[in-house]
Amino acid sequence: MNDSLLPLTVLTPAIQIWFGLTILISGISMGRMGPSFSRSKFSFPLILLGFLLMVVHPSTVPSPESIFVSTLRNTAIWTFISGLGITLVLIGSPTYFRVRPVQLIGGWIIIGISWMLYLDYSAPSTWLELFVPLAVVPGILIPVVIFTFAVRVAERSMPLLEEATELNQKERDFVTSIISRNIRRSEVAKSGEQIIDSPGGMLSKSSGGIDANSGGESNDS
Amino acid sequence: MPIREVNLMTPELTEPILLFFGGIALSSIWILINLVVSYHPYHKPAVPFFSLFISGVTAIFITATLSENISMIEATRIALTNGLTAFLQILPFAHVVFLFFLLKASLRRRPLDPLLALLDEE
Repeated sequence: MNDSLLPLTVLTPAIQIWFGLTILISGISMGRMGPSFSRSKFSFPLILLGFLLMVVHPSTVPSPESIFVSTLRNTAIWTFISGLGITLVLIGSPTYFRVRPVQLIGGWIIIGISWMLYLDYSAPSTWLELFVPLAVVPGILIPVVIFTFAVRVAERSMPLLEEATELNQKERDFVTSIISRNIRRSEVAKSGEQIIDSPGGMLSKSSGGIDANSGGESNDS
Repeated sequence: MPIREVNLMTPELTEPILLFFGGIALSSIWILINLVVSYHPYHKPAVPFFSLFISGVTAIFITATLSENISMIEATRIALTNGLTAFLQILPFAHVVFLFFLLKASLRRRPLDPLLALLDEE
């Protein structure tokens, strides 16, 4: 079948799904960048938007995307319930906190329910259907290996940077002020006194021109 | 095996091969989007970008060759659908492995830590 023969109304849900996937991947990628990048705060809204775009459609989804959407809907139900159970088990398990038997047992019951849902709605009917999808695993890993080698090649081709210069007196004062402030805070916390925290005050005393919001970088050096 | 002979293979053998190339296409496009979205001034993405672009296009081209009379756009849709669907279908395997470690974490007793015991005393 040629794409040009399909009307736009039929293709719209397909475009929506691929757009949603792009947004979902973008959201995950931004989330992985960490809090030092301001775009990471868009991660969760983008993931949610992408997921909704892939699952909710105004009209019937054409083939081959329809297979993916039905699999996604079936998978989303049991993985969401399983996620709830896993969270409860982690809260109840002794690894991070004290043992909380109610959460622990409740979590495992919910995980059991998620498996029942999987077996009822999504489980393959034959052994072949169960194991054939595993062929995707080497396919997924090959670009990861290519990416790793490509990053190595790119990094080796970069010229080495010159050795960083020593800290000047202003920068030394700034680092000292941060350390002494942290030590003071921990001592005050131990003694139970109330601390009046004025980040700008100590900086202005010791380092003068260093920007308090620059994370330690001097503006004029 | 040369690609021109692949069309003569049985459907049982074609399906895993299509899934394999679907996995390559999906993974390549995923990392390509990741490279674009997470770009920052200290990034050198040119070499990884082009190598992944080539691997993705190759996988889509082979998918188009294996399936008769389809355009490249349709081959892209088929390859990505295959990759995504198979990825979702193998989640139960990953889930079983994850639950094994979760069970170990549930049954493990936290070792006594003298420093934590001091905190409790306070």
